[in-house]
Amino acid sequence: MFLSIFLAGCWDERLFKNASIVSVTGFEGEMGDLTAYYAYPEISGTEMKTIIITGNGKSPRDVQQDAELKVEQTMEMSVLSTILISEDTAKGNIYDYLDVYFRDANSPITSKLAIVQGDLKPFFEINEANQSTAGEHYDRLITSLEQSSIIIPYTLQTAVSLTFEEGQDLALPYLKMGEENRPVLEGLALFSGRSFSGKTLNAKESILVNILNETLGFSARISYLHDDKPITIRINKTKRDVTISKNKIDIEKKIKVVVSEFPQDNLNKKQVRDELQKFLTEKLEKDMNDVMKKLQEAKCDAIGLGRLVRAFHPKWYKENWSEQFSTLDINVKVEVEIMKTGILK
Amino acid sequence: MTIQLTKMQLFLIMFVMQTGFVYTSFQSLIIEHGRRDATIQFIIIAFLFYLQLLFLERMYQHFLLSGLMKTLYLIYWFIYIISSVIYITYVLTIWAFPNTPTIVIIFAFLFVCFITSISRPETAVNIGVVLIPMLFLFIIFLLIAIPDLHATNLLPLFYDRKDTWMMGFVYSITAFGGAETYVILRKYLLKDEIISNKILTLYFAVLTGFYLLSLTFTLMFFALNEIKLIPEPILYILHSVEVTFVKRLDLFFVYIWLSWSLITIINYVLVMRLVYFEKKRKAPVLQLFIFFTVVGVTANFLISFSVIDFVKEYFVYVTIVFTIVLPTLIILVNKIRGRTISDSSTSS
Repeated sequence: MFLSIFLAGCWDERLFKNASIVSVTGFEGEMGDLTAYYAYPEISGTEMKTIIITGNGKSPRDVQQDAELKVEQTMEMSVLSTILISEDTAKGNIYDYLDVYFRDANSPITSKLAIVQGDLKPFFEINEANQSTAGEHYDRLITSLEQSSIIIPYTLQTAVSLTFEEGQDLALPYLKMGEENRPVLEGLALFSGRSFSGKTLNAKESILVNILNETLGFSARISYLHDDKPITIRINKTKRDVTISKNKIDIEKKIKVVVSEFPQDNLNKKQVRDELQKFLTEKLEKDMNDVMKKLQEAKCDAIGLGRLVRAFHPKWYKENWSEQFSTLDINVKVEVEIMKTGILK
Repeated sequence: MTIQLTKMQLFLIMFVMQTGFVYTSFQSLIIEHGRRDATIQFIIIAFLFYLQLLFLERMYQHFLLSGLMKTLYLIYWFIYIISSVIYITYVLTIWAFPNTPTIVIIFAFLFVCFITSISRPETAVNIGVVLIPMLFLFIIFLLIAIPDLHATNLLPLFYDRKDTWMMGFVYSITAFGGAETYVILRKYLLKDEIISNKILTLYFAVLTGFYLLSLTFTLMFFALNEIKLIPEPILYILHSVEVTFVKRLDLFFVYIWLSWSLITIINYVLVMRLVYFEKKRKAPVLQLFIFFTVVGVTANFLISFSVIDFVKEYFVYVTIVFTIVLPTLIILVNKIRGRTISDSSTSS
């Protein structure tokens, strides 16, 4: 039986030293006229630099083949960490561009996925200047943003699975090119079905989506000004109760928070705490309702209400859920409770 | 050839033979047709299998194979093994060895089966033990996917029915193929061993629970429209899981499943030997060599996506005949005629 394990060393041996290990790739254009970029690290002496290769072609497989004509070693995609897609390309059927990664067992389907604003090329050029290993930057950026609950944690597999799911829509990280040629997270790119709706949320709204979706990372911090003084809270625990009736959904959110910034202090006084809880409740309730409206405008059910309607009230669930979602009366009711105040009162 | 089995050995062989080939793929067709009702459909079929098991235990004394029936069963198992070898090879070439010639893969694992089959029968009986820790390991790997599961995918029940909904029941039977071997192996149980209803219930619960685990995980992990595209959902779930200690968790399972399937082939060959060489005791090396050569050559010749698709879609009907219909008929006919295994031994 163990003999079979060693078979991999015969015909199926793939040595990394004989391959260009692509760690980040990206697409722009459309099917039939597609451009892709591939970044891989190359070691010369003691230095490691990032090589960017461009390919043109009709489909993702075709562009890869075109790019391989320019590389001295076979491009190896098995450790691909990030796939970037330009926003114009994402407005088409995103699955068409990603199918290629699902047919080959060697393709990693745990890569990160992000949508980029404008041209794709500058997002690859930063690799050459700012880092030693191509792809590491985006992988680390997206992972840290997931941990801060700013973006919803999706891998290539879980993201594409949502494009097949009728009861929930996709919301992917939306990157733009910031100052000093450095990519910055703008927020979330909202999808309706398999296509990018063109609408986005900013970073603060994205945290609220994560709270509503119950996909919090290690921390989720929100700041407001209270009497011209800052108040920052860290979300400790949340609970969601959804009441569904015909054409109406009420979401009740109970949020337990930790105060992580409040220069006015005196949080040991019940009156101050009550006032602050009321303030936070009103603010979060208003902001969450605004976010829900934006999601509805984009026809993007990023928090999966459709799954609940389909599971528990199937008679009210329609096949084209994204459309139905946009017409519903959805209200979010928030109740904030301060659980901890840090090491200060 | 003859053997003596304990209860544990009997149920271990049964468990391996019933789960071996189908475990990676049986979920897709049930869910494709039964959709969200797949789990309920499966539980109903599992309960019918339990009743069949109780029936077989009560009536196994009447399961006597005539010459014609023996031949039919041997042909059925022969085709079943060939189909399985085709499927195992196909899965291995897709998931683990895309460039390795299929004949090399087939030779590698059939050689193991051949060597085990010409060894003492006890080897084939006990080899399934090596699987026990592997299966626990597999369950632990599968549990890593829990954060990506959506419990709401299991509902609503009995709501979203398509025209082919009934086929969900039919394909659920795939999981219980091999039940006919129970009556063949049952007579080799040690005389002082008693099989109570409690033991049969326990076996039924373990088998059904093990299958249900993968069925519900598949349903909760994938969107319903996505499952149609995924022929081996369990491998795919493990392929999607990210762990720090290994890049591809699915490959671990491929090797576990390969071992599992090899042991299944070995156990089927054991059953075939028990039926074919009932009166002979010597290890039939030449016959087994010819058998494995024919299996290997035929499988290598037939391996293709269309053959696998055909087998997946239609073999279940053959399974229904040989697992449910024929054993029941044979037992009933012999019961009416008053023939039992002990009569057969006396007459021979």
